[in-house]
Amino acid sequence: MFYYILRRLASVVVMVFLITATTFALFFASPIDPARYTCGKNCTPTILEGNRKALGYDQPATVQYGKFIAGLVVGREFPDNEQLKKDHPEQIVKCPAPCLGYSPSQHRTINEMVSEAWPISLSIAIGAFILWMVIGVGGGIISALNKGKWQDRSIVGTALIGFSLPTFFVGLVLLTFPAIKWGAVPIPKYVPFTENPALWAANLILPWITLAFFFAASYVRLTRAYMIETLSEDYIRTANAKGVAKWAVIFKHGLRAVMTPIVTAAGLDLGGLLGGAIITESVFSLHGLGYLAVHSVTTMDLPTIVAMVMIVSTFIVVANMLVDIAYGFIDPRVKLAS
Amino acid sequence: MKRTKIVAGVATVLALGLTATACAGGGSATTAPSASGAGSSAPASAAGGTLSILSGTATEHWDPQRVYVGVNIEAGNRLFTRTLTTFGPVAKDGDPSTLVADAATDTGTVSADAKEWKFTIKDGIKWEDGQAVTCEDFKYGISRTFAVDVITGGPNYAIQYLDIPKNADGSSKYAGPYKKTGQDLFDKAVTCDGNTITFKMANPAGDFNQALTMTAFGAFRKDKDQGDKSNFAIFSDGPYKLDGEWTPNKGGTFVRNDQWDPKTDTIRKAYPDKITWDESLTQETLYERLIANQGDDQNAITFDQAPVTALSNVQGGADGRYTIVPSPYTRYLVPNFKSKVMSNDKAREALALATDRSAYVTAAGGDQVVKATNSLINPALSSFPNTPLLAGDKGDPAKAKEALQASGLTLPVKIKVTYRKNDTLDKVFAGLKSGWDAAGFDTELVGIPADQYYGTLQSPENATKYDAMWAGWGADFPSASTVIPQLLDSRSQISAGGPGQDYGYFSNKDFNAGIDKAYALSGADADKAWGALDTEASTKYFAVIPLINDQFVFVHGSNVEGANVNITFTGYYDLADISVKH
Repeated sequence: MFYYILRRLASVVVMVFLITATTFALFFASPIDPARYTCGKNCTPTILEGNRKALGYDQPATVQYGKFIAGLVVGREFPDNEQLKKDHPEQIVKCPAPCLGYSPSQHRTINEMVSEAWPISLSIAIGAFILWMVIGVGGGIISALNKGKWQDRSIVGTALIGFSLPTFFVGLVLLTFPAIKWGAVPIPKYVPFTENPALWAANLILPWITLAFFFAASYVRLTRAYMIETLSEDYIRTANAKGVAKWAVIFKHGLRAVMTPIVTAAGLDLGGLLGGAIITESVFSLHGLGYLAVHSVTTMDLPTIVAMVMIVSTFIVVANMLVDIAYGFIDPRVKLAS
Repeated sequence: MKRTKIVAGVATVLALGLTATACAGGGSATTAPSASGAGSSAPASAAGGTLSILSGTATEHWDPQRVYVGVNIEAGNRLFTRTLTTFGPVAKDGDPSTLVADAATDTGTVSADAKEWKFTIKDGIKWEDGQAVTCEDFKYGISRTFAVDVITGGPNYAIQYLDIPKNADGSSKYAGPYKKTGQDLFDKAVTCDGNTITFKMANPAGDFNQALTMTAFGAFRKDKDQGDKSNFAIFSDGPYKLDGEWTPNKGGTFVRNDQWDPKTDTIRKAYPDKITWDESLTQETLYERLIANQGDDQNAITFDQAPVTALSNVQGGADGRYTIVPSPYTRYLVPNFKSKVMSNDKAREALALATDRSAYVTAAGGDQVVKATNSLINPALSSFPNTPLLAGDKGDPAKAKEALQASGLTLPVKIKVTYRKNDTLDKVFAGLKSGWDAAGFDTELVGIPADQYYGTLQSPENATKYDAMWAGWGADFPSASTVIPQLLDSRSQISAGGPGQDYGYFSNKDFNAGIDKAYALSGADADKAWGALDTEASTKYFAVIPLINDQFVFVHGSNVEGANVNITFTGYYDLADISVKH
């Protein structure tokens, strides 16, 4: 197990390296000049050149990438201007390792931005995850146990609606009516859990419902399908014949077999969501990692784009790895080391 | 300009966007301290309370030398950065505003040749830590504009106006206060003698005192300068100061600056005790909230404009709380003098005659929000010449065809016209194409994504690629010197690096000489000269084909009073005399 995790972690590092290098290459292959974004309205070629220099985009892409990687290991100082460091040390921003870079559009280190944004994304993701797992898996089990009955049809029908409606639509409806027009819940604004857990939950309930409505739908269908299949297996019939309690048959024998595909899907969904629920964050004006990613793209903020790609890809790759490890616990037949 | 498009749901569909920029305007008011610290003689009920600013636009800069968009000039100037001169508030939406003294004792003294300006700084103006604002603070602030590799994004009028030699590439020989290269040159161009600051101009500049209304000419204290780290570090000499820190994309709270003395300030009434600025919102959320007008949102305003697509929602839901005012922008077409076709005078004339502005107006939302024009200068400026449309708002394809036939070119004349691609302009240009094609052109339309649009026009590689190009511009302060030379002075715009904003490579000695003459004038004479140049550009040289002026739609909460849009100064709600009922 230990060596397996070590090998997987090494592959995460290689993958992140490749992804960030590709992002750099794509950025510099783009016809858009990032220096124009900070140039102001009356942008002359001379001023544009000054901006390019201030942003460090006057250096070759390989040099910039090298500095980015070095920053991750040993930290960096901004701006990268030796004369300024000597004459005006008060203007220098120190970014300790692992330094993700300095955002020219937000004028602060990306580490600071990420440290503000990740609790928001984490709060949205965890709450929504719990909600959709409870509703999705629970609904799927109820549906499977009542196959063909009205309960099954109702749950599957609702799931279909949830899956069909885009999150921006559900989000806007929830925001407009319960929050803005009826005032039944607060207009979402992030309150840290440590500050006030009740307000934290009250402010995030709408984003949670928005995401859960969408994700729960697929889990209902997934759980239902696997549960129906599992419940028709011989060993379930055997357990029933032996007089094992119904709940034990369902949860100990049936659900355990269904868990593998559910954990696979849940791990990847959660990993993706931790990297930011872009649409939900945008609709509810919650500035998590998803918002940061969108903002960095619209402002051609290379350091933030690269950092966000790195964070999101790391979440997904690590989630994938955790899913694989979880297999070993859920299904003893799986041997990770092999 | 930035635009967001959103689709929404069952009962509510709002598609909202925004625009931002600068410009400049006047009246003044007398003030007296109120019980709550407001510098006003207004009823006591006006002072106090909390004004809430809802925003869907991230502030790029609060550093006075880097502020360049109208919203931030408005807020910066009215809340925490006093300038030597400014424009006074207005009594109602759309009223013209005049230049008044702010931190200076008057609007300046200019030499006979308009190459030297003097201002005396008022006594009693203090920074938020109680230290006096000095002439040296203004001088240092202005010097920061020259540090173009640190203080990026701001207006470069100081570099343009001041008598400091330039390098061959157009950059200043003064590299700003951090490198100090050429410091002696700056010290000669800007001098302090006690409280009197003197500016020496490179060329006659009759409107320099208007340029000073931009916060880029505001004071900055040297010991507070941390370069890029100062971008959001507000250090106030105005009626409000930042409470805590500004968080990008979230905002901050402004509270009263107890060092501000209303006796030194005849402009700012500073009614609210507190101003909260929330920029974590989306436009659709903030407009939903403003229309719903619930709770604290009754005390709210926004600087984000509702686009035409949301107009009916605003008119239906915010009756009596919205206003439609001219935006600072003019949208226009630029014939390219480097193209074979458009280097022909008659072909440009034909294009101008065949331009159907009514198609633009219809496609862009109707005459309530878009007005046809044949002037580059915006109607909000006193120099607006109101040049008559050459052939009505529909154009005259028959007359245009005659001109095109007289050009000697073989009909149909193929032209490639480019514009910034979006749904509205796709429709607009489909309409314009019909008019041009009816006159004998064979028009190929090329939409370029917004991200790449102006970069494409300004690239020397594309100098001959397009025959005509769409563009938009708004004055930085209410002088046509921020319009005509910025768009049509080949000497300041065209270089080996590209055409600057003279996208069509228009270069005419007589026209440039006219610019020099206009610069040397001031007041009504300058207005007349700039207006004449504008008319010449569109009717004699056909160097530009002005198309439309669009309108801004603003909404405010029901408790907000004095929410007047100052179209001369910035084109946004003026914070100088805004108040909330409480």
